[in-house]
Amino acid sequence: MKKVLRILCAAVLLSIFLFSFGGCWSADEINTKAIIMGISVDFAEDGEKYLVTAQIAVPSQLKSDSAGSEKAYINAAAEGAGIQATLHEFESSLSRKIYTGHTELIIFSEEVAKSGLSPVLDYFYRSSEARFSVPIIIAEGKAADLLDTKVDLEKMPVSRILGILANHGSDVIMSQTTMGDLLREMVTKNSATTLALFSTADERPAMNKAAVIKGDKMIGSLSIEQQHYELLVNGEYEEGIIVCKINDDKVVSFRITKCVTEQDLKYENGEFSVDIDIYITAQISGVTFGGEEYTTEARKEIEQILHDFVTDRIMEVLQITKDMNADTVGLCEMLYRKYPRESKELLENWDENYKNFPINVMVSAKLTATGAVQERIK
Amino acid sequence: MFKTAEENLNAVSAIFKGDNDFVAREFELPNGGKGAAVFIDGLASSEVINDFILTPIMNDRPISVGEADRLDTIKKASEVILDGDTVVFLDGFDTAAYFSTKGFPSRNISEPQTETVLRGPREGFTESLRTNTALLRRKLKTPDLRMEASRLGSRTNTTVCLCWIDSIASPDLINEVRRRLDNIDVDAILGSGYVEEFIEDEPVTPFQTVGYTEKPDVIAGKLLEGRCALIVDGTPFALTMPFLFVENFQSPEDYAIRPLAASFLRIIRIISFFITLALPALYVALVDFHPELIPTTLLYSIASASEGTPFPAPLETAVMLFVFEILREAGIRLPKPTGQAISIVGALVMGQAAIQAGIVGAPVVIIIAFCAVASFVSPTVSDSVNLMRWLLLLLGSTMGGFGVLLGLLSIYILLASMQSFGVMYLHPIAPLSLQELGDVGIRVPMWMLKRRPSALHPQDKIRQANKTKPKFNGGIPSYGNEQ
Repeated sequence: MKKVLRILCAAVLLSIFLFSFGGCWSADEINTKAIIMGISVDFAEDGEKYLVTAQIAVPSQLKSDSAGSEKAYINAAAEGAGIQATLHEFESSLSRKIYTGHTELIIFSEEVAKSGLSPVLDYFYRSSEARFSVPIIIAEGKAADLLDTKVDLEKMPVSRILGILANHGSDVIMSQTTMGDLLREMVTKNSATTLALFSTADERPAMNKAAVIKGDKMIGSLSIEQQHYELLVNGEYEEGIIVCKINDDKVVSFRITKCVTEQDLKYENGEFSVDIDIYITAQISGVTFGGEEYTTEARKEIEQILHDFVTDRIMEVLQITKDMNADTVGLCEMLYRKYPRESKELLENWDENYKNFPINVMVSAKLTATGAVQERIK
Repeated sequence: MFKTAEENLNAVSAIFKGDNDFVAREFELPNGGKGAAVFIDGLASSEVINDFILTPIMNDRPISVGEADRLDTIKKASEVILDGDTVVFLDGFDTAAYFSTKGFPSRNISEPQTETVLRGPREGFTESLRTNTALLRRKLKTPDLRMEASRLGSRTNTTVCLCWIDSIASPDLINEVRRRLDNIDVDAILGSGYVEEFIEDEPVTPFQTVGYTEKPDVIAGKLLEGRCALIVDGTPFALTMPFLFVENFQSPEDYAIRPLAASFLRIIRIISFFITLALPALYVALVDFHPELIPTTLLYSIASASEGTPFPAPLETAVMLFVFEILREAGIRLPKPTGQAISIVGALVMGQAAIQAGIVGAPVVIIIAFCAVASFVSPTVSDSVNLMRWLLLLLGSTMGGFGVLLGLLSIYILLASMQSFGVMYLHPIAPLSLQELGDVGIRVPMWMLKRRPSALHPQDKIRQANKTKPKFNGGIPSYGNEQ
C-alpha cells in the first residue's frame, strides 16, 4: 500500500513539473496563423516611423487544384516605430495571429539601408521564430513595391524574387547574403559585404545591382558585373560567364568552369601586403574572331585575353571599393587574425590605410576546351 | 478397485452419471466371466475399439493396440477415458487395463494465417497436442529433444508439453519454467494465453515477455538457440521462453532469403515500429508546437487542408486514430465476406467523405493510414504499440516535441528495465553485446552466426564449425575453368 502511494505521489509530482515545463498553452493551430512569407521595410511618410509591409500566404489559394483566380497572398501594411510595434499593429487588423517562422525574404528600401539596418534587424535577431538563413535584399525606391510585383510561374512575388536569387545560373551570380551572414559582417570591424539590389520595372522585379553594406549601412552600389569580380577576389565565384569585349568586332565569351582564389597576407620588413592569386579554368562559349583552328598559339592568345580582361576588371573593382572605403576583401579581419600585434597601428586608422594597402592580383587563366567544336564556324 | 467388472463399471458410471456420450460396452468372456469396455463416444476411435480390442477379447486372442497399461484407481481410469482412451474391466482383476484409442476429430495441418511466408515451410500447428509434438519432432530428429508433459487446470485437465533440447538449453531455465508451471493453480487452461499470463515476468506492462508462434520451424529455431517452448493442448499457438524485444522484428522469412535482403527488411521493420509508434504524436507536435520545422511548401499543404476544419489537430488525430482502431477490430472479428464491406465503408466512405465534407484534413488521414499500414509490419509488437501510441499522442498534444521525446524515453526505460526468464529484455542492445548484434538490426549470413546467444546461457555455446564460409576456389576442373 505504501509503495503504491509512493508511486502515485511521484507520478502526480512528475506530471505537474513536466506540464509546467512545456504545456498545451504554447500550442497553436496552423489555421489560426497568418504565415508571413516576406517582409519589406520602408520609411513612413513622416520619415521617422517605419512602414512595414508583410506578404501573407493564403494557403487555400496555394492548393494545386485551386482555380487560381484569386491571389495566393495578401499584403498587409502598418506603420510603427519598429518591427515589433508594426507586427502588433497587424494583429489588430488581421483575423489571425502573425507568424514569422517561415519568413523567407526581408526587403529594405535603399533609404532605410542607408540610415542603418540594425534597428530593424534587431527584432529578428532576438526573435525565436525567425530563421537566420533568410536572404536580405535592398530595393531601389519603395521596398513595398517589390512585394506587389506580378507573379510568373510562382504564385507569390516573394517566391519569384527568391527564384531569381537562387538562379546561380549561367550569367547571374549574386551572393545570397542571409540574415546570419549580415550579422556576422556587422559585428566584424571595418568589414563590408554586398547585398542584392532589386528594382521594380513594369511591375516586375529585376536584380541589376549590388548594394555595398558597411557596418549596418549601405554606402554605395556596384554593377552586377563588378560584383562578379568582387566575388572572384573573395573566392565566392565558382562558375559563370565572362564576356570580353575587346572592341566592337572582337568579342569572346567564356564559360568559367572552376575558380580558385588564394589570399596570402604577407608581413615583410615592416610592410604589409596581400597576394591574391586567382586560378580560372574556362571554356570558350562564343568567339567572333580568330583563326581556323585552335592551335597552341591561338589558345595562348585567347587565354591572354581572358587574363588581361579579368585582371583589369579586378583592379577596377578594387579601386572602386577603396574609394568607397569598403573593405569587401575582409583584409582588416585577416590582418587582425594573422598579425594582431604588428597590425595594431595600421588598423587604428584602417579607413585611410586601406586606400593605400598594396594588393597584388595575379590571375592565371587556363582554357580547357573550346566548346563542342574544334574550329570557328564562319 | 473392485474385483468384479460390474462393480468397477458401476463406480465409473457413477462418476459420469449417465452422460450422453459415455459408452459402457459389457461383454462376456469365452471363460464365462464378464467384462466391460468404457470410453467416450467421439473421443475414442470406434474402429480401433471394435477391431483391435473387443474382437480379440471375445475371441480369446491377444489385443494388438500400440499403447496400453494397467490402472489401479477408478480416478485414473476416468482421466484416461476423458483423453479418448478405452478402459477395460475384467472379472477377477482389481486393476483395469487401458488402451490408447484416441481418435477425436481435429483440424488438418494448414498454413498459419498469422505468420505467412513467401519462402520457407508452410505447415502450422493445429489444436491437437500430439500433432504438434509430431510436427516438432519431424524438424528436430535428435534424441536430445525433451518433451515433458504435465496437466494444468483442475477442471480442464489440459496437457501442457514443455519442450527443450537437453544438450543446449540451460538446466536452470528449465527448472525455472517448471517451477512457474507448478505454481499454476487454476481450474481452467483453455489456451496458451492462459498459461502465458501465469508464468510471465512482467504481468502489467504492455510488452509481452513470452513469445508465441504457430510454426514448428520457428519453435525448432528457438529451441536450437537454447530457448524452451510450451505446447498447450487445444491451441495452435506454442509459447517460447525467454522472449526478447528484438524477436519482434525477426521473421522466419529472414532465414529463407538472402542476408542483404533480409537485413533491409529488418531495418524497414524497425523504422515501421517507430513510425507506427510515434508518427501521429510527431505530426501533432510539429503542427501545433514546432511549425518552423516543417518545410514551407509542406506547411502550405497542411495549412490549406486544415482551413475550415472544425477541430484542432490533436482532437482530429485522436478521432481518426480511434476510428482506425474500431475499423481494425471490426475487420478482425468479422467473417471474410463482411470484412470487405467494412474496408469499403471504412476507407472509402468515411475517409473520403470526411475529407470532402471538411470535417478532417487530408494530412491527418494520410498520417493515420500510414501509421496503420506500418503497424501491420511487426504483428507481434503491434498490440503493445497500439496502446503506447495513445500515450505518445497525449504527450505530443500537450507538450509538443518535448513530450514525444519524454514518452519515447519512458518507453525505452521501461523496456530496459524488463526481464524475461532472467534475460534482460533489450538484450543484446542493452546491455550491449556487439558480437550478437549480427542477428538484430541486420541479418548476417548463416556462416557468421557461429555462437548461440550468450544471454540464454546455452550449455553448448558453439553452433557451427569455425570455417564454414563458402569458399569454392575455381570451378569444375573438367570444364577447364579452374582458377
